[in-house]
Amino acid sequence: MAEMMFWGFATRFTVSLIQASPFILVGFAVAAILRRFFGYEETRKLFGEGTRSALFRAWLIGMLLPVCSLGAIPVIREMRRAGIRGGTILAFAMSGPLFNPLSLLYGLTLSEPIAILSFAACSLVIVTIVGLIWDRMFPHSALPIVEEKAVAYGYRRMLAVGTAAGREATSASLLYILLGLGGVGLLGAFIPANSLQHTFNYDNPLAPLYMTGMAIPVYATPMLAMSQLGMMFQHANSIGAAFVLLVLGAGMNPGIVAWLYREYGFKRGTIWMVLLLSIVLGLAYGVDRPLFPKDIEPANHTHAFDIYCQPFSGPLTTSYFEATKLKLERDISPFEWRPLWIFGLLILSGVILQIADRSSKLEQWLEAAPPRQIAGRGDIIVPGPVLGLLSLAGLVVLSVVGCFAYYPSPDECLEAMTDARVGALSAALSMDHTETKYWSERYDDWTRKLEVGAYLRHGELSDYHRWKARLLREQLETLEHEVEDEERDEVMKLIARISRSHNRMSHAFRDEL
Amino acid sequence: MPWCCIALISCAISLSGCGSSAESHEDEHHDEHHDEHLEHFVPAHKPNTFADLVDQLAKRAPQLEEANQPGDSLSGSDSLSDSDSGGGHATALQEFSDIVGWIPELAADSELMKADFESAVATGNKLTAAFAETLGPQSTKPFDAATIEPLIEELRKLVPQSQDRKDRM
Repeated sequence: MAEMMFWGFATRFTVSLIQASPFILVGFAVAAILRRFFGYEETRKLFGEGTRSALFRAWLIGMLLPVCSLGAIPVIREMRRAGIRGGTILAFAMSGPLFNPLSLLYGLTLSEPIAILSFAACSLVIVTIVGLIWDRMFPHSALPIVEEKAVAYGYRRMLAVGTAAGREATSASLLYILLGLGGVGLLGAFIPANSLQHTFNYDNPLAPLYMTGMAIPVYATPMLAMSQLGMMFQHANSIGAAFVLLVLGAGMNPGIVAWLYREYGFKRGTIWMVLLLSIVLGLAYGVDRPLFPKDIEPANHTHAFDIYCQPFSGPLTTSYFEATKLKLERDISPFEWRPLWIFGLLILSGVILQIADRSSKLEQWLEAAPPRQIAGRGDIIVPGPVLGLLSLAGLVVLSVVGCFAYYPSPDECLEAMTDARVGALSAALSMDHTETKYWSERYDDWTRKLEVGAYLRHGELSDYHRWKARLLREQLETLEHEVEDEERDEVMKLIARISRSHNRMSHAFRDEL
Repeated sequence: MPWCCIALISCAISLSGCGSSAESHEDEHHDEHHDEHLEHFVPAHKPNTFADLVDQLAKRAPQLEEANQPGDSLSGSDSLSDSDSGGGHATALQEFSDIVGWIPELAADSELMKADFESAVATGNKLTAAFAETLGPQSTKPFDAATIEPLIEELRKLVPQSQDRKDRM
C-alpha cells in the first residue's frame, strides 16, 4: 500500500512537472524581463499600480501571457519586489494560468463556446471583486519601493536577463513550484484509482463544493484544464464544478497559497482565500444551470479526473518502478522532455552562480554605469522597457504562431490521426481495453485538433463540421466502454460505425470546408 | 492546505459513494472488478437513423393532434392511446420535442452533405418554433398537425440522400 502510494505520488508529480516545464520556463523568462528590462518603476507602470485600471491590466496581461499557475510564481514574486499591491498581484496570479491563445482556441471548439467566454468574463469578475475588496481592507500591502541599479547596454543587458532567470530558478520560487507539484502528487498518492468518476455528475448539487476541495491541490496546465472541461461538457457533468476546476485547478496551487500566507500573513491570507472561495462558489452555482449543455444526454460519469487519482490499483505483475517507467514512456512524448532538460539547465546555472559568485560580483559588473557614447554609426540605444514590451509581445505572438503548429491543417490532422485510428480499432477488435483507451484518447485529441486547425485557417467552423467530429468522439467513448464490458457484438457494430463516421468526417473537412 | 483538501475529497468520495473501478490505461496488469457501469443514457424513444426519426415524427404528429380532442389523451411512447392521464399527453409532447432536438445529431450521423444537413437543421428549428407554445406546463394551445406535417414532409425529402448507398437500392 505504502509503495503504491509512493509511486502514485512520484508518477503524478513527474508527469505534472514535465507538462509544466514549458510554462515554468516562460514564467522565469517573464520575471527576468520585468527585472532587467523594465525595472521596478516601469513594472509598476506596466501593471498600472495606483490607478483604477490596475486590476484589469493584471487580468489582461495574465490572459495574454502563456504561463501556468506554477509559471506565475516567479512573476508574482517579481511583482511583489517591484512594490505592487497585493490585489493586483493576486489578480495576475489567478488569471494568468486560466487561458492562453492555445487553450482559448481549444475551448472555443467545445460544445458550448459561450460557456468558455462566460468563464473568461467570470474570471475578470472574480479578480476585480476580490482585488478591490482586499486592497480596500489592506491598502498598504505593497512592499516599500527600493532603489534599483540600471544595467549596462548591449550584451551585458542580455546577460543580465539570463542571470536573473538563473538566480530566480534557485530561489524560493523553486520551493513554491515544488510545493505546487506536491499537491497533485498527494492526490495521486491518496485518492483511489478512478474514484472521482461520479463525484461531479450534473445531478450532484454538491459537485462544485467537492471540486473546490480538490481543485487547489490539483495542478492543470491551461490546455489540460480546457481538455478536462471538454470531457465534462461531453458528459454533461456539473458546469459549476467545471468552472471551479478552471478557476482553482488551473489558477491556484498549494505553492501560490503558501506564498500568499508567507508574504501577507495568516489574517490577510485567510481573508483573501475566504473572499476568493466564496465568490468562486457563488458564481459556480450561478452558472451551473444557465450554461448546462442542452443538446447532450448526461452521462453518469466522467474520465476527466482519472489523472488525479492513484495511477495503480491492485497487485501488479511487475515492479512499481517498471510500471511507472512504462507509464511515463507511453504518456510523455519524447519532445515533451526537452523543456524539462532546459529547466534543469537553468537550475544548474543558478546553482553554479550561487556557489561561484556568492557576493554577486557578476551583477555588480552588469550594473556598472552604462557608456554615454555608442560606437557604431546609426546605432541606437533601445530603452529597457521598449525591449521588455517587445519581449512580452514576442511571447504572446509566439504563442499565437505556435497555435498553427500545434493545430495543423485539416489534411495534416487527418493524415496524423491514422495511427491512432488503426490503433484504437485494432485494439478494440482484439478486445484489449487498455490499448483501446490509450489510442482512443489520442484519436479523440486529433479530432479536436482537426476542429481547431480548421477554425484557425477558415475563421469559422460550421455546426456540420462540429457534429461530424463530435459524433466520432462519442462513438469512440462508447467503444471503450463496450470493450471494457466485453460486449463483442456491440464492439463489432461500433467499429463499423466509427469507420463510417471517420469517412464522413474526412469528407466534410477535406471537401466541404 | 493540501491535507485539508485531500481530507475534503476523501469525504466527498465516501459521501457520493463513487466506486467505479473502470480501468485507466495504466492499470494494464490488473484484475478489474466493476462495481458500477459507466453509462451514457440513451432514451428509449431515440430513433436510430435519420429515416427512423422522420418516420417517428410522421407517426406521432397525427396521434398528438388526436389527443387534443376531448376525451383523448396520450401515454407518450409508441402505445400512444393506452393512457388516459393528462401527463401522458405532456410526455408525448416532450418526446416529440426530444425527437426534433435530435435532428442535427442524426442528420450528421448520416450521408447528408453539408447543404442538406443545414436544410434539415433549419426545418428542425421551424418545427421547434411551430409547437413551442404547446409545450409549456400551463399551455392550452392545441398541437397543430397541419403546420407540422408539411415540415415533416420537407424532412422526408432528405431521407434518400441520408441513407447509405446500399440502403438506397
